[in-house]
Amino acid sequence: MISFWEVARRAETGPMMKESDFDMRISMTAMELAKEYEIKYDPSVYVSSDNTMADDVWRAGIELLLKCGVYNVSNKRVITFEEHEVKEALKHVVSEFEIGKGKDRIKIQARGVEDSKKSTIFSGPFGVETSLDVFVPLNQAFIQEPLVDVLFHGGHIQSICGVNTIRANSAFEVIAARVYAELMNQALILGGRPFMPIVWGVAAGVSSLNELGADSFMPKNPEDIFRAVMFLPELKLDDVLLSKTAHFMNYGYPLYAGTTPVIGGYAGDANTAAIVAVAEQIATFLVFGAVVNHIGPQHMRYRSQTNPASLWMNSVMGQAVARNSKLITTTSVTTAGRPGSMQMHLEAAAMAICSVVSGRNLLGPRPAQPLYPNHHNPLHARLFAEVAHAAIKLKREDANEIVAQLVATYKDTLDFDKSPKGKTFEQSYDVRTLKPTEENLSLYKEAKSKLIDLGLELA
Amino acid sequence: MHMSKEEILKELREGVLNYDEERVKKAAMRALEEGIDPFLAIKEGLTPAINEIGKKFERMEIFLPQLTIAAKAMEAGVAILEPALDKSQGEKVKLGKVVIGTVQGDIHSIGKNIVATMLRAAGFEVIDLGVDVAVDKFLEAAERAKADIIAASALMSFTKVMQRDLVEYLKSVGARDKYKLMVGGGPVNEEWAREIGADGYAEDAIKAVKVAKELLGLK
Repeated sequence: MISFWEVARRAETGPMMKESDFDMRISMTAMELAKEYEIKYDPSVYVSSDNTMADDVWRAGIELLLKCGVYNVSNKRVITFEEHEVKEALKHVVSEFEIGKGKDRIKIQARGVEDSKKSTIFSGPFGVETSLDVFVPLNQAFIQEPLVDVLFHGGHIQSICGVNTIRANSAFEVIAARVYAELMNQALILGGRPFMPIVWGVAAGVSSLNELGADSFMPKNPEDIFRAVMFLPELKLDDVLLSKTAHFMNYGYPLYAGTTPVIGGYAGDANTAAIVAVAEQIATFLVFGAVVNHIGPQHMRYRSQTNPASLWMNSVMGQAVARNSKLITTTSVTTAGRPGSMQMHLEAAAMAICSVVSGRNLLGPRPAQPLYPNHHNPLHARLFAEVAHAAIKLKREDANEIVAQLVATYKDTLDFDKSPKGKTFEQSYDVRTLKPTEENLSLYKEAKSKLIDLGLELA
Repeated sequence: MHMSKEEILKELREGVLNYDEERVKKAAMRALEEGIDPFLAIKEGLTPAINEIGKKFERMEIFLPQLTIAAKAMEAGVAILEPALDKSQGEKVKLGKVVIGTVQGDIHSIGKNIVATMLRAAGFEVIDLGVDVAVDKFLEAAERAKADIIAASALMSFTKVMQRDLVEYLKSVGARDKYKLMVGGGPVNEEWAREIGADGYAEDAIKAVKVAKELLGLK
């Protein structure tokens, strides 16, 4: 399989081109391939059952990657791949991976379409500005959710030492990263799962280089911690990301790699975005040799991932990858409805069902565009995980029917000015006992009841 | 073969609507050859077409690639017609100059690119500084271009603070009142824009055009 060092070498020597030309090359090539393979988006379908389309999207995704490559925005060079390299790499995919220690050691697996294997649940207060006073209890509340298998990033510290909004690449960011490590340790111990696997940092945490500021105070051995490396949409990276990857490899961290193809952006419509997403899924594996390969099916207008186009794209892309490779994959679930709202529960359920029957593991849920500090609620993760585990009994056609009914409940309130605003962690939990408020618990039960009525077998 | 004014205007419109830059260029040259008022060719040929493209984009019937190609076709047409405009017409065609970029520490470009494309399509002259732009670079570019608006994008919570620094920097060097300042991006909202003292905020590219026009007192 192609080595990271060979990829890094190509990043130094590949052909040069303008970034805007690369963006348009992706767009035009995806459109040509969609036409050639007759891949069309059907807005009436949320969970596709079309195996032929899934296989065509897979082939088109590989072609896109071979024709376009991956762009290094730092030096304007294109990293190119040959077909035999892609084929060879896919033979070396790790389809099972164990991580964590003791009772918290888990096995993460590649999943197939309509697979009866449970989805691994990655969750946590990721991407949300978190104040110091609730950082530990908020993470602890996620850690104490037994169905959360992997803690995904502890939220990012917004202010410290009297600095209200920490600036990227400032000294305070290094301090925040160090404090983050300290508090994550505390949360894991207090939560009773000191060796729970975690995904340490993502781009929404601290800037890439300052993330390394906490490395010597990491809670456990490198092999128990996923480090996150994310492409820029579409099929782009930079020198900092390559450098960070080299560092992670030097110290033996397993990698969690991904990207967020943007429907409506250079990826185009849902059909072309599915092709781009497959190319990106393969590319993150080729470039990083990642254990887990992630896609967030982002949408330019909604900026959330549970809209009809993102659902369809995720199902088609997911099935393409699941039917044709043994890659371990995740899909993220970003909702327009905010924590403490019925809409967030139902949106998260829709994407969970769509993803699970399409061969994915799951990350989420989290509110989209996290504008408000401490807006997270671990009860959403609980129901999300329960739905994911119930969905392994569904066929794609059944899943589509349930998802259609769920989408009908929220499709008119996906825009941010219409979606429910939600509550902070402190408003949803007793921060001392870490018990959800009665109101929060009632909402969870009501949402669960609605999902049972739709046909999900929830305990 | 002679072409009527209506036929040429139709060609200009159809060229943009069909993402055909060459067709637009040919029609624009033909307009000049046939003695058609270049201002009319822009206002009644190219502008309605790009407005229609903007609406299609807003309805998500087309996407960023098509928008970019259509805007490029429109710009190619304007580039041919513009030199033939008299001074007063020229002032009417360009709505204003916007210097745009993603703030320092942030390398996300898609949202900023969409706003830049929509502003261009609406008739603004846009100077795109790219990503990871330091506060002084915004000002230098605005001074050089004699810009009306500075627009700063940020996609991360920890980079939006650079929008605040941009406001403070402009104030510190006595340049704040020379430019209207717009901010946008994933973690940004109206409240933040108000807090840091920006003049305008838009949550998407369509609204960004509206806000830019409002800031310059245009309809």
